Amino acid sequence: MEVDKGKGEAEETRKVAEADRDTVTLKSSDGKLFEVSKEAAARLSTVLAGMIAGGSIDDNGTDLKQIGSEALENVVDYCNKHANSIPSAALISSSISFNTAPFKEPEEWERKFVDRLSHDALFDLVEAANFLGMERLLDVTCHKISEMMKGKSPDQIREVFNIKNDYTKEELEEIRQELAWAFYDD
Amino acid sequence: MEVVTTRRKKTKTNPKDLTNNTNQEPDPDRISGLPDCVLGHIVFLLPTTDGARTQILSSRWRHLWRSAPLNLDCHGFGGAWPACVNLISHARHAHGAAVRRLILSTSRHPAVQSCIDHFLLRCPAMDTLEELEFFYARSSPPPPPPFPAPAASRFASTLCSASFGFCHFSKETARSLAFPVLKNLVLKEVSISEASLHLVLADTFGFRTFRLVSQSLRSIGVVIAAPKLEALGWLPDARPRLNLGIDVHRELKTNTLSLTMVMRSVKILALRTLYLSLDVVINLMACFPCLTSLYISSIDRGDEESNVRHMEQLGHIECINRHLKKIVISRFFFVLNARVLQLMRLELPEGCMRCKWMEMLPGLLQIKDRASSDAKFDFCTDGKRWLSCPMSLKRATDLSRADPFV
Repeated sequence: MEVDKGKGEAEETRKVAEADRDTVTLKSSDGKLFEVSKEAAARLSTVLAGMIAGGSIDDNGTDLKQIGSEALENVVDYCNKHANSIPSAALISSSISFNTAPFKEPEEWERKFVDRLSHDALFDLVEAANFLGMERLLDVTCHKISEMMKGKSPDQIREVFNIKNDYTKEELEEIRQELAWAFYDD
Repeated sequence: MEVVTTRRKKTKTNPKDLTNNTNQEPDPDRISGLPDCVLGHIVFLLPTTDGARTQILSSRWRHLWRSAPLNLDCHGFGGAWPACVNLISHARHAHGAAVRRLILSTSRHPAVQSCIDHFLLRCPAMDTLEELEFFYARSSPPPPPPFPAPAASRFASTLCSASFGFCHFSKETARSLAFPVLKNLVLKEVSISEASLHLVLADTFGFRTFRLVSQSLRSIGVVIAAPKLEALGWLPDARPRLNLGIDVHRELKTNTLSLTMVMRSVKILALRTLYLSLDVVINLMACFPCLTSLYISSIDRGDEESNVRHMEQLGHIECINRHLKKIVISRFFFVLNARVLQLMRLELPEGCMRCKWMEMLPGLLQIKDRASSDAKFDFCTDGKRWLSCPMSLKRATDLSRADPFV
């Protein structure tokens, strides 16, 4: 964009161009640009839907300073895959209020989508989904994390996620007694 | 300007990353840094005891399980009823907040019964229940035990998803049911007494009717009448009368359905039948003219002569001509002239795969003359699936999918 154009004129041009496009451009914290279907972005992300409706989408790349390029690439990838997987239960569920709908099991392609992610990429994606208000993607990534915890002992879980046990011996004993019923199979 | 398109060019995924190889430099604790609402959701998704045990991980996790809604999953105890009762009382006592999801698979032991009655009816934490799976152990001899009568109506107004299995709904219970926000319903071998002509449901113990009022129902496990219904099955066949809220009568002798109304909303239909009768299949297809997927499971081929006689009718059925895209048949097959067919899957008894009859199948199916050139044909054995239960509860409850019978 030329800087020396009249500000109002540039604004005008931008708005017209924006209205015509069926994609939006998103900019990661490290300055990379990604294009995503406007329809999918608005459907899957409450935050992006709000920005699109409010006209605060920047043609040169809407700044998403909290999201790194790898996570944003995954977000965009997910949106595009979602747009292409019709008919899907997820699509049907998106027409239902997420607040009242019970959790929907991830579909096969969604499982594969999160299974290929590295440990860090998975958490970057959870954070991005949470930041962008992407309920479905948050469900799918949280489901993946819960699968990684299921059936494991506390020690095993601490090891997988590198959680530091900061309880004192006495506190641990107290909690263990309180939770004796939940440790019956140990 | 340079725009990065979506496809991932580099594969960064290292399997070791996922298992957190301890020889490598330890990753920072990413999970504990997530906000409470996200961690609470992860904890909610865990089975009950796994969820409760997260409290011991570190002080960051101490309050999470109790502040998240309770997922009370009592599945998998089998006949171990003391363990089930134990779990309910302990989890309830330790948690204290609202139960959002309850899975209860229980024996008919009187001690369990009184505990469950008390829990279902009086526990205030159950006021906002959204998901309920309730079934008695199948091994119980008939007659099926009653579903705790007022319990169903107590949660009815908040339930989004409900599964009931191997129990009896009394006339009063059935009558009192209204699910204003229900989306998924599974009824597995439930016996129900006559309460309304709007819905009739059958089970292995006897045929009765059942009333259900719902405007939002979209997908169910057995039989129902609802204006937005999209998936229907497995319809039981050996019943004197099938009422879909639209007066579909079937004469016992001729085994046919006569139709007074069609349901255009239903896209997916599953039919389980003892004797395959083309009459019934044709009538059902006429009754649901917009079907895109049809699942048939039968044990015997039925009256072959009568089936052949009705072949010509098939060409006049709307759903065969315009909509039907997928047919899955267990145990037996018949030939169709579906024009937009994409998939026909035959699930056959294992022995069939080795016999000569297999070689004849393409000819018998008239694959060469098929109406849809895009149609794909799959042959597979049903294996133990048929022997145990053609439609396990697990599968029946997976109604989140667009097509619950895949």
